[in-house]
Amino acid sequence: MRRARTLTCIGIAGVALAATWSALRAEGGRAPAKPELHATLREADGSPARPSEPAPSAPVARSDLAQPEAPATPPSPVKAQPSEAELLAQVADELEDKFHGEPLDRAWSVEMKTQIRTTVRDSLPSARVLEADCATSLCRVVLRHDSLEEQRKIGFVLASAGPFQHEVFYDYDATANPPTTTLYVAREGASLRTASSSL
Amino acid sequence: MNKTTKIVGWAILSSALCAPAALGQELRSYSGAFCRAVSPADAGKVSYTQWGVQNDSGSAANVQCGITMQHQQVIDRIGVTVYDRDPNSNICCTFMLQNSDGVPVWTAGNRCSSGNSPNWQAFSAFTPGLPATFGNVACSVPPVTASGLSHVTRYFADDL
Repeated sequence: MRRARTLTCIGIAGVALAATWSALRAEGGRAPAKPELHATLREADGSPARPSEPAPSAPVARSDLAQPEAPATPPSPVKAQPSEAELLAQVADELEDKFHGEPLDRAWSVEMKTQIRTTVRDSLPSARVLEADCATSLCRVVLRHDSLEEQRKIGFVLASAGPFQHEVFYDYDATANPPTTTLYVAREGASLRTASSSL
Repeated sequence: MNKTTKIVGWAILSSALCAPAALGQELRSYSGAFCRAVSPADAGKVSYTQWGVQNDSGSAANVQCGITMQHQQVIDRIGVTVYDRDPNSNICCTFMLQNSDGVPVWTAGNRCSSGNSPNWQAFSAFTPGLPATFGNVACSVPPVTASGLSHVTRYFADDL
């Protein structure tokens, strides 16, 4: 939707600029003298007028072009919007790929894993660290919780705690028994944004 | 008004209207006056003006500020505009996006102003591009100093 609106606006702006340019040319205006304007001024002096041409940048609507009509096709069915859970799962997949694609910064990784385990033990005594791995800019941590209630609390507790305070994405698995959460933790100064984050 | 003037005016107007779409759109922007003190002790420290929430006390005050999104709105950035008048400490905030159950799906802490200034400062955090139903900005506002009061004036979420 946003991309369509942006393209529409670019189209409008293009048409507006082309129209402005054409109007300036038609008036033989006071714009800075350029080779093309010299030609326009010559035309105003009585030289044979050239047939008007669309400005090079003016977009031409496809519907204006003489083309055989395509056979009518039935409208495509409306595509269902992905759910919140599906969108979040997509981000989790991208972060998983990003994590596995990173080389290992061994010294930082060792230090971070120690900090992660210490912080979870101190801040979330009821949680257990099942996995903790760090690459270069990202750590992947899997926590197990005693209950769903405990699972829901972790973001509020960890947001300002030790190595978790920079940036964390939480991927909850409430169907696991006991429930687990995978955390993607950004290194200080790094970001969790992926290649598709700004699309 | 001749034709050229009309066309140029139309071009400028259309560009102005289209600029927000091309450059990104601010989805939610709130006055800091919507923030609330985190605890009763904090409530005794803060007051509210046209510049949002301010700390009138001699010690730091904690406030939090809620955001409601359109359902499943993808958020790219969340941030604040502040006045930091304390030479000894900064205004630091933790940003959070929550799903429709209110559970945090993303957090970014330790985002702070830089030094003190009579002028406003803004800082923010980019998300991985997440759908969220709620957002939360939790800030620590420094105490009043000889340089003046510190404020959280505005907070926002957008989809750049």
